[in-house]
Amino acid sequence: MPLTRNSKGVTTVSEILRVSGLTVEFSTEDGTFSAIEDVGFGLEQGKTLAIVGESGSGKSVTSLAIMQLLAENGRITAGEIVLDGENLLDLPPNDIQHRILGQQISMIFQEPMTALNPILTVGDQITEVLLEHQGIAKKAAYERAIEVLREVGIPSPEKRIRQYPHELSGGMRQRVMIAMGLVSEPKVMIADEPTTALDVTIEAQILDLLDRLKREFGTSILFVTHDLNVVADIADDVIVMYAGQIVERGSVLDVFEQPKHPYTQGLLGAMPSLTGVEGDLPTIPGVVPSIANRPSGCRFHNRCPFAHPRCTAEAPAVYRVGGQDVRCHLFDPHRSEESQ
Amino acid sequence: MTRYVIKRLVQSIPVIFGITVLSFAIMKLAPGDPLANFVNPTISMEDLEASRSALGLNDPWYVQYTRWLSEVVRGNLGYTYAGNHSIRMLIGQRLPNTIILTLSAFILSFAVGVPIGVMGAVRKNTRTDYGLTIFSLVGVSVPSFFFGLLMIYLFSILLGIFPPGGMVNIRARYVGFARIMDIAHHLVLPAIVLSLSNIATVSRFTRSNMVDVLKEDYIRTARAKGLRNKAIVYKHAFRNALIPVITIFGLSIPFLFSGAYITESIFNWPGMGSLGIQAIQDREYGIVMALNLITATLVLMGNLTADILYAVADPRIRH
Repeated sequence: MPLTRNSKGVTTVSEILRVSGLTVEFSTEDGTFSAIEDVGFGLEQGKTLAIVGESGSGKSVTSLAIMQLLAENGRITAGEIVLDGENLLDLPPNDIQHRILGQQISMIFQEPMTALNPILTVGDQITEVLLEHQGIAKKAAYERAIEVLREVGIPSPEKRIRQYPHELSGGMRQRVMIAMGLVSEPKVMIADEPTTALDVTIEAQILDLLDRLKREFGTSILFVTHDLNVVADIADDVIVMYAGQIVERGSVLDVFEQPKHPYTQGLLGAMPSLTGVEGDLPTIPGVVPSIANRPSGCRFHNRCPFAHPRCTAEAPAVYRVGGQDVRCHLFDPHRSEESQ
Repeated sequence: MTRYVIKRLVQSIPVIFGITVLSFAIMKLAPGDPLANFVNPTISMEDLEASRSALGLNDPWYVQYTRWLSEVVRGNLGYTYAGNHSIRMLIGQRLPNTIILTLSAFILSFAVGVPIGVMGAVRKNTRTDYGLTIFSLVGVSVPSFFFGLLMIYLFSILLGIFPPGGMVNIRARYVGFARIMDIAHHLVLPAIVLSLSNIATVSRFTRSNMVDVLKEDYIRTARAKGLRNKAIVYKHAFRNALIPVITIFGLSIPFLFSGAYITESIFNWPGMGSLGIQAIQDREYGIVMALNLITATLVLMGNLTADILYAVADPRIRH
């Protein structure tokens, strides 16, 4: 079991962020579709929770919904997002913008190339978080920015702070993004595929950095990725999403050791390994259904090797199996023999 | 930067040279000559031919061009065929008036066009946006001679707020500040008419750039940082959206300068317009060439200014 590594002990872990029943709808010309449905999870203080899924699974929508940064046609129709005891969905937009975003939750994006403003210096972009909300002097803000840049492993930060994003390498830019997300010491940091655009050596460095920050500052991280290797590397707990729903939830150790949901099993089976048997890498047949064409019953049934008639007809509930929560009929304790 | 500017200035010399060669050749190859105006029934063909030879009009065009060029490089723009007036003096009297009008229209284009564009983008697909779109469409579509007459009818004849033409009140000889105010009063209508279509172009261009920029990832980053909407629009989006608008900055100068010809004749503005049109009709080659030279220089300066502004606005170009 991955335990919290803080000195105070491992038993009293508190949830800093709890999402429950979160549903997001997008209205398009062809109608209204729910991108995610009934998404719920808790992020514990000082831990990393990974959301894994293929494109279209709803993992990015989930993170953007927490930040309330959904596109104009997206709307949260149900659910709660409770940050440190406060339901963000009850707060007026002004409060969210002024007190929450950048202050208590920050976000790092996938493309450090495009996520930084090309015409503002690194220093301007880091300090504006402080200058905007905390009313501290410009000089103090810059000193703090230099400190954070050093913290995220940028050499000679006094020089870098005056540079523009295009003068930095991809890895450096992502470090700048992380510094920007860290500067006001938020309670939660959401990282949306922060290493996908980087090459593997840089990816490893950034993951190490995030892990170190979590341990040193007790920052809780919500890590969105499609890469299971990254999950194994960095996360304490994991949520597997498929077609807008959470299909499995548990600690990384449990889920990787004993994946319960057929989709999770498929994903893990499709992971290349150095010690594994030779031969073709197994894949999951088919593709994630589009938001407009989600199948009835269990959304995974048309790709599932264990599908039975009930799966097409009835949407599965979530069952507690060992340490995990699984959305699959196979784990229904009242399952009748005939339907197997 | 200084080296770059010097390099560009040096590069523009052959360009200007090429422009003068071309325009001189085209002008000379066109039929007609300055003496046509002086022909009367009593003049003999021999006398006419003798005058032509004396004026050097029978020489091949490149000989005439060389003669013109050798004077121009020494700062002599020549004299008119009719009246033997100094062309430099004629232009010297008119050019400042045209510059006043063009510059006002230039400032107006951006001072009005850019805010309209930003407003349209920020309130995309609202009534404000649609209203501004219609305004822009009308602005580019309405020809300036019609719009000019409409303005004169509305503001001079019906309302009597602005004078219908001219640059100064000829009945009151103002001096000093009163004179400046008098010119400004006369300037309002022609400046609006001249800038209208440019305002429309600038605002459409600003709007579309702004709409694109507001979709950029770094705008989402700025929102994630909890910045106020004002900071997002002006600090993050506006400055990025302005970079392509600089292109229009450079293009506007010659556009307005040539547009001034028509506006000046509508409002009887004593600028280069009437001088130029008359010069073309009279085949006053010296004046036409001088105007070409000025326009070509303005175009090149406009482009150079735009390129310098790019570097100022965009750190990616600066380095």
